[in-house]
Amino acid sequence: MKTLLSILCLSTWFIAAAPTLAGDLVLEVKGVRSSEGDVYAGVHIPTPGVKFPAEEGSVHTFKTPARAGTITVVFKDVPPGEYALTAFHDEDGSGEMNVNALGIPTEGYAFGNDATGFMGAPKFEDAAVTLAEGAQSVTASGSMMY
Amino acid sequence: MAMQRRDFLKSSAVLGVASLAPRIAYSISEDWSAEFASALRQDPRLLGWKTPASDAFAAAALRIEGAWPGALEGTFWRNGPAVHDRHGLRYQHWFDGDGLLQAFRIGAGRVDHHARVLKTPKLRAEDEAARRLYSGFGTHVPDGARLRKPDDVNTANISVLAHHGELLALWEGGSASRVDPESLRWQGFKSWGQGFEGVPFTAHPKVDPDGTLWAFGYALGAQHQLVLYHISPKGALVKTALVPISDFGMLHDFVITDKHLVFMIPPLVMEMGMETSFIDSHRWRPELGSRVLVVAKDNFEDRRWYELPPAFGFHHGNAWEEADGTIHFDQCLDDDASLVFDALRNVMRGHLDGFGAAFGRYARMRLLPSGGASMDITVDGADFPQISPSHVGLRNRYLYHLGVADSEDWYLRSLVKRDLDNDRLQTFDFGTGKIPEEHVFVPRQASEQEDAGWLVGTVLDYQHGISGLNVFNAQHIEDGPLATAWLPYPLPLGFHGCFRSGLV
Repeated sequence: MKTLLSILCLSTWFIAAAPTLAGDLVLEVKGVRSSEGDVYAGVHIPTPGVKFPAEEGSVHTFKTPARAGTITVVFKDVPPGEYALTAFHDEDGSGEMNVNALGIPTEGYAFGNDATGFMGAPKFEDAAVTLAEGAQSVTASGSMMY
Repeated sequence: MAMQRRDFLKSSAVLGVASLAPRIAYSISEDWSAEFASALRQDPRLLGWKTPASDAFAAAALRIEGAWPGALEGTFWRNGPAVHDRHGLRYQHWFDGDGLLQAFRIGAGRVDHHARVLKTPKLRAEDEAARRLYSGFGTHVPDGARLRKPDDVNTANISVLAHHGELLALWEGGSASRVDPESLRWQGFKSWGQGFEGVPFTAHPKVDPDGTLWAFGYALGAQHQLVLYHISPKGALVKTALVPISDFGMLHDFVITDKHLVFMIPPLVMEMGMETSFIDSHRWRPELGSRVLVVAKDNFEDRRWYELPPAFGFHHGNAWEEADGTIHFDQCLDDDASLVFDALRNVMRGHLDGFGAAFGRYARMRLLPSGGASMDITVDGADFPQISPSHVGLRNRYLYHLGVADSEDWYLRSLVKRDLDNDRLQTFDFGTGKIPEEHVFVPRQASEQEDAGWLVGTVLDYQHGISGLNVFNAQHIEDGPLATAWLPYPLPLGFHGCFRSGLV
């Protein structure tokens, strides 16, 4: 099942953006396995001195009730640039991504482009998509892994 | 509400625990199926590494040779890798095959056998995709699925434990698996408590005579850690600890006294950052020697270290301590870990050269209160040691293990009873044509004598193409089995089992 959430206009976020260059950033969180709890997602941009996916590198986060299948969110009038998707499925509604005693997530999570890292999180550039100048839209997509 | 990114970052840093398995030097582009099939036609010993024709099979009222003791009643469980070939691919290490759980149900002089391949999430995903998706312990599967966590490749294929009414198929790189004792179907991963989902749990937990369960796990990642578990006789997690261990790697077994947990840590070191398989990312570093970690049962923060020469072994027999604190323990030890790198891999392509010589020898260690330690390695080829469950952690006089019958043996061929008080051995040689597997000690009811009981275990008769279940009188094993219940089919050689009176 595909859920389309209409979403906020982000023009207030990207105040410096020249409207003629702005396009749509489509976030797709695929493979949500149940309608339990919430899905949290974040949009990250390259941030000097911040190691992806640390929270300081995000420009927006949102929470939506989980729906099995794909959750799609469209951000309008986003300035050109690189954007990386992160998400997790808070199935127990705790407001946090649960981890086990070793720190391994025990709830589903996703990175853009289904990027994986060796001995850790993927690199920002592997999880990112580019919204080119003059492009109408770009889709940042990742599948939940449980 | 923002996502908890700090947790996410912390979590991501240790995802490497799961990222280790899929890279390996050996490539599956080299198909071993034909080579093995050809070798099997020449050498019937290789029958022990052939995949069973079916995922579930059974035989009732087995043909019994000899006099089966009527007082022996219960279920003998066994586990081991069995699905070596699937979806057009033969695995390239003995440890890779998906687990086959077996139940021998014994009562009123009758033995029934039931076996079922454990349909773990790993095997289910592969069957749905109609291909092998994941690289394993020693086999690289190119273009595999993304690996999320260790349990994604959990084959539940090493051992089986019945504890507090629960039957658990044991792996060691991730969770234990809950299994339905009636149907033998895989039910789910066992979590010992909140936060312990997916945390590695050994295939060799130890049970005190009162039912208290002690266990460990090795978690290899950016920071190698040893996980300690103290579980009550009722299956409740009492306490745990995470112990950072430098220069750490695969650790298969441990041993307990009445007061301590004892870990013999070989210089087999997981080196991070190499793009290779789980086992091939280990390096043998003899300059580190063996380190022995002793942890107090009543306080996991109370830890002592000892040093011993470099050696590698899979299995311990027992440990016990004297009043002055001197700890004695034993292990089947080899000079290095070449067994796991070479012999256990080459058998999958049908090469048995050097197979037997690669197994360890019986060794006894002593840890002194002064901090000194000693190691005495015998010349006796030995593995799969067992003791009476009533003596776990206490001074045992008898140890039972498989041994070599003569220097020409290609594998373990005899059953040995070792009297540790006087080093006298009783031996039964199965002779050419048979391969014995682990035999576990089953105490006879209402007896004070340590060796009053039976030894129960399987044997592959590769000349006749069948397997059997032996029962020995543990007081006279040199007489040979009291009885053998013969199956109408062969079983793949496996690893470990346990016996319980009743269903679980």
